[in-house]
Amino acid sequence: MANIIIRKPGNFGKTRSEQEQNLRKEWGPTLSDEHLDKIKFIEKRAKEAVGSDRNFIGAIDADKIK
Amino acid sequence: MFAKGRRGTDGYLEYNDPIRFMGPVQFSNPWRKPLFVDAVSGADGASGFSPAAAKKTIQAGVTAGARGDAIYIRPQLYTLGTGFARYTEDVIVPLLTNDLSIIGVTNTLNPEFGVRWKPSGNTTPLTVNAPGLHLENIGFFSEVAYRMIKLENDGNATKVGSCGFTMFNCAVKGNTIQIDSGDGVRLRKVYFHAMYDGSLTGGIIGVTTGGSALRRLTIEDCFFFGGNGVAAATAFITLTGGTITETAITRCNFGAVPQSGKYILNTNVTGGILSNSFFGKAALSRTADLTLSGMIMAGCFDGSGAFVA
Repeated sequence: MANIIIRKPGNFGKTRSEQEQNLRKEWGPTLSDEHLDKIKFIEKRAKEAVGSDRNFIGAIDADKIK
Repeated sequence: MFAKGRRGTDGYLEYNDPIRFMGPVQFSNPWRKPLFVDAVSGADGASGFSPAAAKKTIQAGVTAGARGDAIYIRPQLYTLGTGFARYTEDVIVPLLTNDLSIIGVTNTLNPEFGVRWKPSGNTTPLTVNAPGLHLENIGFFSEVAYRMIKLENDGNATKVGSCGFTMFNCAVKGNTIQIDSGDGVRLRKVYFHAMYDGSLTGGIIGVTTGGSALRRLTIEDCFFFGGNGVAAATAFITLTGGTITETAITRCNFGAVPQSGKYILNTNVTGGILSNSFFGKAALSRTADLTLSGMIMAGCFDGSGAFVA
């Protein structure tokens, strides 16, 4: 049996990391694994700080995390 | 805070002090949506909301986009006998499409060999009128004497492309990024190359328009090189015009000195710093090879390994 996934506009992922993981299944990566990890960390902190689970973080900001 | 690389009890790797990075994070835009562009399999009549329904051109993706959207671009195919195909179009990001992200998919994360973008003719491939545009993983290529990217600002709040523009892991080959008056442009890990014969200098030109100022331009971890064994024709960074303040150039690498004799030609910059950068010329002269105006220079080295004071 095949699973059919119907996506609404904007349903590709609520965060950059979700979108990245979905995109890797379709076309390929836009982030290195290290940047993806850092972005997940920022997303986690952002959710703790403001309660939102929707945000978009550019690699330019993740790149600054050491 | 935890040291780098330590995995916390919740399974996430912990990094040092992320709080200072919270500022640039874009929160809580429930209307933000991703869009997709695929020159090979896409169609401009498609919705663009999924990889299977991707747009064909970058302009169609920008036009379909709204404030805060992210546009993912698929690289084109390699053509046997021809080489890497490029998106060949001139895109305008209009004023009200602010905070857009245009991101290239690239398996190698090398911007030269992922999404490649060139002008359609003697034109500029990317003109930005909206604030806050973010570019990632794009390789711009030009062999014409038109700016590669123009961040336009007319000083009348109808073109504000030079405010908040950011660029990461991109390549700019052949011509320059022009930055009009504005604020907060950040270029990080961008690779600038002149055209193969050096005649077009890959680099940055900042000008002031409408009597306004160019402030807080940050250029970090970037590379500036000439052509194929040929020095670039003119300075890699040229900042001229009216009020240009608080420019930061840090941790950059510059190859051979351009044929014009100057690596950096900043004729009216007040404040700002050039730091921790490397210049390929041995015995670099701070006055002959650089024009910094009011910028402080610190922690830089030249091709002989000498510290440049």
